[in-house]
Amino acid sequence: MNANSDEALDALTARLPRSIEPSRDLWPYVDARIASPTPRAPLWQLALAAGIAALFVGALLLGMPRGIPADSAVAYRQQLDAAFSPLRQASLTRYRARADRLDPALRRTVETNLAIIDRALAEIRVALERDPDDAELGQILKRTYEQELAIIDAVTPNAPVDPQQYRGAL
Amino acid sequence: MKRLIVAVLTLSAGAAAQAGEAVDKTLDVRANGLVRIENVRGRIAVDGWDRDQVQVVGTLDDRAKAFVFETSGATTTVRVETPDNLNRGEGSNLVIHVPKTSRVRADVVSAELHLTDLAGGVDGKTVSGDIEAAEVGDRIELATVSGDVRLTRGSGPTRFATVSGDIEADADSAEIEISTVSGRARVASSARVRELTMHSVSGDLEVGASLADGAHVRGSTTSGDIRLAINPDASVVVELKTTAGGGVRNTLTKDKPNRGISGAEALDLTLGSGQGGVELTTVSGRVELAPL
Repeated sequence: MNANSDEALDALTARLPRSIEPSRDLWPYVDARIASPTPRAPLWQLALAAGIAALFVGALLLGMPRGIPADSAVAYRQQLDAAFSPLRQASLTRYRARADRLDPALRRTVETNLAIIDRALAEIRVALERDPDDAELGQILKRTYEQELAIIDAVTPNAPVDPQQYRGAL
Repeated sequence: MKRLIVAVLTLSAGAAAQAGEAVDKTLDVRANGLVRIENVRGRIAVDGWDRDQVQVVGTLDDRAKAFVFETSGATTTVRVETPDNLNRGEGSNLVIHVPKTSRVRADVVSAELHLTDLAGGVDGKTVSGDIEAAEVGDRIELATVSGDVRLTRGSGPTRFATVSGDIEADADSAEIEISTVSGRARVASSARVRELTMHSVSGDLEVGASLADGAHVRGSTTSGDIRLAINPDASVVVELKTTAGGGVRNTLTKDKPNRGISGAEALDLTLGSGQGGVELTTVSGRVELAPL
């Protein structure tokens, strides 16, 4: 790395945010979801989580740059994950309970797009491991979580959480 | 009061409607009121007209349980109620005329939705049906899961949202919001845009518009491409970025993107006095800034 690129890197790191606050408090909605007991996750969901975890670990081993301070961004991402995890679990459980009643073509569309979102989430996580201080990546992660919830709410209405909360996603 | 009595009487007659039955009913309503429409399947066309009346003409769903057509205060409701399980018969086919200045909120499931000549604002949602809107304005919100959205000659703040459906729009809107998972969006605005936000997971986004002074544009995708075509005399600070793979392309100016050690590309430049901002980010897609 030459002096110019060092200076450029210094300039870029100087512009990074020192802390990142979530755009809204998600805990009331998390609490609302937790209040309704949900069945245990089925195997495919566990397998999916394991796949994402494998990508996550792989990225850590293969490509994570060393020495970049990432506490604030990592904390934000952990907060996002903790907030959305029960929401996703509850939404997917509700979807599975009602999926048989959907038109088959619509069901294929929904599941194709849920799979696209799963792949995107894995891709975003890999990118975040490479660039943990990237605030915009954190926002993309949040919007992608919101889109997943919005898809399920669109086809399985009467959600216990007000869909207006993440209506912007759909 | 007289209008309300007429409405209630008409409701009584409407509720007795039978499945698959032809319907032709009219209510006097407020010109600037809200018209709420709910239907599961078929085809619903909502057309604005110059009368202070809502008229519903067509045939109800073959499996309709009830037809609700009522007005109370400033709100008029048109609702076709059906059982949960609809695997037989034909859906509703209705043409609904409403006062041109009404605000229309239409929620359908697998029905086509056509919205025409409505100046009081439209909020149209489908699950699997297409939405076509023309000559609509004030405030526009069109959302669907798998249907396509087409807007022509729309004006006012506009919001599009789909999961897999494509979006094609020719708007006259200064505020535009686009959200899709895997759909493709092609949006043009003849108005100078002040606010534009767009987000996609894997779908491609293409927007062409002149930017107003102080305009703010934010866009992001995971793997989809973004192409933004703007006026060369725009006054904005531009930040284009891809974080892993993908690429940044600039055909608006001679500035070239920088490529980082991780393969990420970025382009920062200032157009005019930089009053506004353009921030476009993708994880692995391509981002392009082009002349309008």
